[in-house]
Amino acid sequence: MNAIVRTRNPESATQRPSAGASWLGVGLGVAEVVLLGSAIQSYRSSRGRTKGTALMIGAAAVGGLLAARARSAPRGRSPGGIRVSKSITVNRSPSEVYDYWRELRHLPAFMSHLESVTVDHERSTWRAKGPAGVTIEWVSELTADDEDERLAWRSLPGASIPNQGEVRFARAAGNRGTQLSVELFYEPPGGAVGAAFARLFGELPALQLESDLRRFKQILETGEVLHSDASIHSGPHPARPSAQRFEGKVAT
Amino acid sequence: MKATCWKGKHQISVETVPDPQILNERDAIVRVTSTAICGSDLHLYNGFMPSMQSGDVLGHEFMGEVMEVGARVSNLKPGDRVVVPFPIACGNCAACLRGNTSLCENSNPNAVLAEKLWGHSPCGIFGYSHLLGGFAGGQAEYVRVPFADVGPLKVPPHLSDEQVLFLSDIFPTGYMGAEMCDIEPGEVVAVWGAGPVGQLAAASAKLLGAERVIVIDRFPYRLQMALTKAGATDVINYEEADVYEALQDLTGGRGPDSCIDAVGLEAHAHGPMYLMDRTKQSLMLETDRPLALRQAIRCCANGGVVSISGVYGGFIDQFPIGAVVNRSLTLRSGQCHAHRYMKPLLERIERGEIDPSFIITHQFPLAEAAKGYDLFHKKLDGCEKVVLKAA
Repeated sequence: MNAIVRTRNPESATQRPSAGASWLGVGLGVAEVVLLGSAIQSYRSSRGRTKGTALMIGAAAVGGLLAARARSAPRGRSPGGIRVSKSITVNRSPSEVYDYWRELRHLPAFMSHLESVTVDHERSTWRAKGPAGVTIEWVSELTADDEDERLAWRSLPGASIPNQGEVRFARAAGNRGTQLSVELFYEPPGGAVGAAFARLFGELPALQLESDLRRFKQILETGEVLHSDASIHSGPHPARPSAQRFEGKVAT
Repeated sequence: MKATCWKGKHQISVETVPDPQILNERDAIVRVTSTAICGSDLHLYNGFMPSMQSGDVLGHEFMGEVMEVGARVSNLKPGDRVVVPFPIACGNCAACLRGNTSLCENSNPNAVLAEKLWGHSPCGIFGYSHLLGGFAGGQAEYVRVPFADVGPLKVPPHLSDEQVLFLSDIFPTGYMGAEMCDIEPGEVVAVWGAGPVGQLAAASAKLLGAERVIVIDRFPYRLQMALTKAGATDVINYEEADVYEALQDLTGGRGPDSCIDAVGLEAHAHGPMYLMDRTKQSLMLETDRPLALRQAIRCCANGGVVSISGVYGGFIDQFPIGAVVNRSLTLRSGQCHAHRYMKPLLERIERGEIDPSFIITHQFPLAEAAKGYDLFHKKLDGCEKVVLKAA
């Protein structure tokens, strides 16, 4: 319960009995993969560069320059896919944090690559923006729903990007709100290319997951996702006002 | 609008850029009346801060008139005259609630990048690189201010821009540098650097009860200002005297009770250590030149405090950890949590205890920002502090 990083075999999550009528969070996992896909796209193309890769290159440059190889949460390849995990503390009670996450229509507000989530009784349908304007859609089911404590999910057979994951909500020590821990497993796209890319740029999914969780924290703590003059653009942009009217969501 | 843009090392250009717009419901748009060039802007000017992009709008010391507020800002209205603190802070996170606004957990959209460099991210800052958020700065005619319900401080009409502008950064920064020293009445405080922060740290040390304040620099005009305006009791020109020996003499061999480093990563000195640090810096073997910091640690009295107000960005070599450990020194630092100091320091200004405008030596229209950077960088014409008038 208190362990933030676990090394549980991913298979065990899929064997949990389905606990519920709702659907959850798979957007995180697939957003990761979608980003990975678009990164592969730009990796192949000498021209376009996604914000993710720009961030990645920036981070790598800084890290390399200083010979300070900072690592994010443990991750790596596991039998059957990629594992990513991340924790964040939100200055709200576990029940407030759980309630917001459980309301699936909220999720695209902080998962940048997610377009929509629609819930239909026991299933939910997720739409995410993929590389080159392609929309990816999949259906998932909830495999655990312990109120104010834990949510787990998996994609149904037939998903183009099979994935599963879990979110845990725990009271943070010292009355500091909630420690939110997310763990994801997924099958990378693009077969051998995707796997090779994932090995080369393994931090990209972790960066994307962390950015999503930081936006989640901003919404719960401040009521909005904070934008900067640069962050409202999907690619690199100077810190200066934009000529275009900003409509509230970063175009990707 | 016109805005001061960073175009590369030693390249500043005032350009026409789009007017800012409300991006979040807690934003305000401020028409800038006065803005200043900060010593820390010179680190950008000199190319020491990573993650700058050509075209970035600079400036984190500014004030002006509220023009427009977002839907969730109810404490400000168009026409209000405000000073804006340089850290962008939400007021809701655990750090802000403790008053540590420069550690705001929600104001840096590029926090994941900053984490790679520093382990954890600080707040976002206006006009101070993409590592700190990619926010356009205030050396411009207009600026967008996020979390405007938390940061901007309304200032009364009888005080001039020059008297209150420095509440945005350097007065709180200098004051916090002195406050971190936990000064007891009668103590001796030494300040490295007689730039604007050093002057205001020295003046703050006096306000906080120091009996003697010793300022160290190499420019006679700056040392003269420290003596005549900031309230320093003694000054040391390190080009003419050995700083350690001079401080030993001034303190009867004890060393100063507290030492404030108001120099930061581009310290200058004489001798082989300086050449070594410059070489390492140019080879990227260390990012910062900690000459003032090393000297402050060496000179500080046993059991004393070394307070770091100067900006450091990365890594240093030859850190004298043995002196810290064996002599029970305390190191304290931080980007200033400006929000918590603005109101009490405004009250000190209103009571006439201090007028921080004494540091201003040059005023230019915004269009001449590049000239201001050049004078400030080269320390020409007795330049101590440049204020740009945007309206």
